[in-house]
Amino acid sequence: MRPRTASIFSLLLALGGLALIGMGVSSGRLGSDSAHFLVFLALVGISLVLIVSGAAARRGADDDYRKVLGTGAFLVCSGLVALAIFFGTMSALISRYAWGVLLAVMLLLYGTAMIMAAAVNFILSQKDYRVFAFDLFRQVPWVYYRYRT
Amino acid sequence: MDYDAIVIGAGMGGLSAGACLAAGGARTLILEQSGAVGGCAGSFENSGFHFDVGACIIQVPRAHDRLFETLGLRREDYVTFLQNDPTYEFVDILGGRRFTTPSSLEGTAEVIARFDPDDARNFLLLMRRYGPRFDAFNDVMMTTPQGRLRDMAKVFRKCPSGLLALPDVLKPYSKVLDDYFRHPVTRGLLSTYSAIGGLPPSLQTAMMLWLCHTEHDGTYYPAGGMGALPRGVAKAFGDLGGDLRLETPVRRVLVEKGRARGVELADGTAITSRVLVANNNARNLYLEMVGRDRIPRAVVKGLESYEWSPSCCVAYLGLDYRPELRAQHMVGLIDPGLTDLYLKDVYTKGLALPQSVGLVSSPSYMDPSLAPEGQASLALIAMAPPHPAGGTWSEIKWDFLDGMITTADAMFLPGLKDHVVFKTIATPEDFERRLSMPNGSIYAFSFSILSQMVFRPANRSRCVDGLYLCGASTHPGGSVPGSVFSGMMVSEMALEELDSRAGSRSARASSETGVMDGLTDRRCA
Ligand SMILES: Cc1cc2nc3c(=O)[nH]c(=O)nc-3n(C[C@H](O)[C@H](O)[C@H](O)COP(=O)(O)OP(=O)(O)OC[C@H]3O[C@@H](n4cnc5c(N)ncnc54)[C@H](O)[C@@H]3O)c2cc1C
Repeated sequence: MRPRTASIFSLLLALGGLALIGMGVSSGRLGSDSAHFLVFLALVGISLVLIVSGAAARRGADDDYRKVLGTGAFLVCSGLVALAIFFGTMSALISRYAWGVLLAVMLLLYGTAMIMAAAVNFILSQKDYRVFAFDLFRQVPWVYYRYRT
Repeated sequence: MDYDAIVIGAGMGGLSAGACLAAGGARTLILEQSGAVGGCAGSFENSGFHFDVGACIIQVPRAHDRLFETLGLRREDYVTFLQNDPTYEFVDILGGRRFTTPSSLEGTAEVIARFDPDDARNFLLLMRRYGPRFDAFNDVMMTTPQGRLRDMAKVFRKCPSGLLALPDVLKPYSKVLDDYFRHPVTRGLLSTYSAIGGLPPSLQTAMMLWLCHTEHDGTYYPAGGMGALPRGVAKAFGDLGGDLRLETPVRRVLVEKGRARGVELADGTAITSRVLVANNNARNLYLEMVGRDRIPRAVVKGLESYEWSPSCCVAYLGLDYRPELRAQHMVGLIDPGLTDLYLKDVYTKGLALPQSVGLVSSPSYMDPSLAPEGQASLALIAMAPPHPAGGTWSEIKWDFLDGMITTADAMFLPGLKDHVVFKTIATPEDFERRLSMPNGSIYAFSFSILSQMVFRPANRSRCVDGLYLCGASTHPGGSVPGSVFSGMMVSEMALEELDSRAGSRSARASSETGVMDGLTDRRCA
C-alpha cells in the first residue's frame, strides 16, 4: 500500500473504530431487537471478510511483517467470530438484557481493534520505520516476561 | 561461609566485579573454567604468534580508568593503552577505494568531504548536536543498575537531558543515514557503527551514533595484546587479596530457601559464600545452574524469549612478513542496504559465507612483540550463523577458513595467501564450547530496544536472593566497557548487601550516589 493510501485507510479505520466505540457505549439506546440483530450480523460479516482477506494477504505476502499482520488479523477475527457466535446464541437464548450487553462489549472490542489496526497499519506503511517498528511489535508479547528476568 | 563472595567466570565483567569486591574488603574467590582469564577479551599464543580471542578494540577507555580508580590503583601500573590513530582503514569493497579515519571528528569530516562536502557538514552537525546528548545519556544509563521500572526512571532523574534523546531511541539508524547522507562511502562508513553494535542499520536505533561519537574520543589497544587488560585486572585482584582459580568449572548454584549459598564445582566440591556473582550467560545460569524448577515460569519464558546477538568466525593467521598496514583495523565498507541483506542471509537463512570477512585486525601492528621478528599476527573476523544451513561447523570450518583467507587476499591484503605460516579458526560452535557463550553470540542477547535496560536480566537477581549478574547478558550488555561497568555496579550492590547483613552500613554503601557517580556527574552536571 502506498503511504498516502495507507494514511487515508488508517484514518478511516480509526474513525470507524471510534464510531463503533460510540455505538457500543450507547448501544442500550439502539432500539429494537431486530436492530441489535442486524448490527450483530454486520459485525460477523465484517469479520468473515477480514478472515478471508487476511488469509489471502498472508498467502501473497513475501515480507515477514505482512505475513504477521495477515496472520494476526486472521486469528483475532476468527477468535471474535467464534466468541460472538457462541455468546450470541447463548445470550439470545437466555435474556434480552444479556443480548444488549454482549452487543455493547462486541462494539467496544471491535472499535478498539480497529483503532489499533489503524495505528499499526499507519506505522508499518512508513517506509523508514517499517522494519524497525515491525521488529519492536514482534517482541511486544515478551516484554512482561523479559521484565521479570 | 568459605568466602564473602564467589564470582563465576573471569571474563571482564567477573574480574571487574571481583576486584571491586576485594577492594571493598570482601574475601573473594573467582572461579574460571578455562585456563586463562578474559573470556572473549582474552589472548592466546601459538607458534610464537599472539592473538586476541575476540575483542580487539578498546572503546570508552574511561570505563577502565574508572575501574582502577575505584580499586585505588593506577591503571598505568597494570596495563598500558596504545592509541589507535588512525582508528580504521576502510576498504570500499565495491568501489575499490581505501582511506583511513583519524581519531578526531574534524579529521573524519575532512575525509568525508573528499567524497561529498554536504555529507561532511552533516556529519559534523549531527555529531555536535547529538553526540554530547547521547554521551551524557549513555554514561548514566551504563552506570545505573537495572531491575525494576524505578531503576529506569532513575536514569532520567540523574540525567534529565536524556529525555531529549528518547525520540532518537525510537528512530531507526537507517533513517538518519537516509536523511543526512548521500554518498555511498559515507553511508557505508557510518553503517559500520551500526554493525559493530550488533544490528543492521534498519533494526538499529539512531542512538548507536553514540558509538561513532565516543570512538572519536579515542580507541585503544593494550600493549601486550588484548589479554593484557584482563591479566592486569586479575593482577590487581590478586594484589588486593583475592583468590583466583583457573580450570575450575562451576556446575551448579547452591540455592537454599530462595537464597544463593555458594556453588558446586564440576568435581562435586561445594564452596559456600554470602553472596554470589555470576559472569556467565544469564540463560545458562538460571536454566542450567540454578534450575528451571527453582525460578518462576515467567522468568523461564522471558529467558527463552531473548534473541541472540550476532555470532562470528575468527581466523587467526601467522604471516611470515609484515604487511604494509595503515591501521590496526581494516574494515570492509558496503552500502547499508547491502549490510541489511547480508545480515539477513547469514543470520536468518543460516548461510555460511566466507566472503563476509568484515574486519581485519593485526595485533602486531600495534605491538611488534606479538609476533616473531619480521613476522605478523592477523585476525580475520567474519559474520557467521550459529548453526550453518546444511552442515555443522566441525564439518565445514577448515574450508571456511580457507575461504576467509582467499577473501582477505582479494579484498584487503593482496598476496596474503602466500605468506600464511600458521592458521586456525574459532567458529560460533568453538566459542560456545570453550567459553560457554550460547550460540557463540558476541554480545550475548541482542541489543534491540526491548532487550535492554529493565528488559535484560536484572543485575540483582529478582528470583534468587544474594545472586548478582554481570557481563554481556545483563545490563548494560555486551562489549568490554559494558561488562566492566556491570561488574562495578554489581560489586557495589553486593558490598552494600554484605555491609548491611553484617549490620554495619559503611558511608560508601549508604550513599545514594555510590561509586559509579563520579563518571556520570562529570557529564550530566
Ligand atoms: C569475536 C569477538 C569480537 C569482539 N570485539 C569486541 C570489541 O572489539 N570491543 C568490545 O568492546 N567488545 C567486543 N566483543 C564483545 C566482548 O568481548 C564481550 O562482550 C565481553 O568481553 C564479554 O565479557 P563478559 O564479562 O560477559 O565475559 P565473557 O568474555 O563471556 O567471559 C565469561 C567467562 O566465564 C567463564 N565461564 C562460563 N561458564 C562458567 C562456569 N560454569 N564455570 C566457570 N567459569 C565459567 C567463561 O569461561 C569465560 O571466561 C567481541 C566479542 C567477540 C566474540
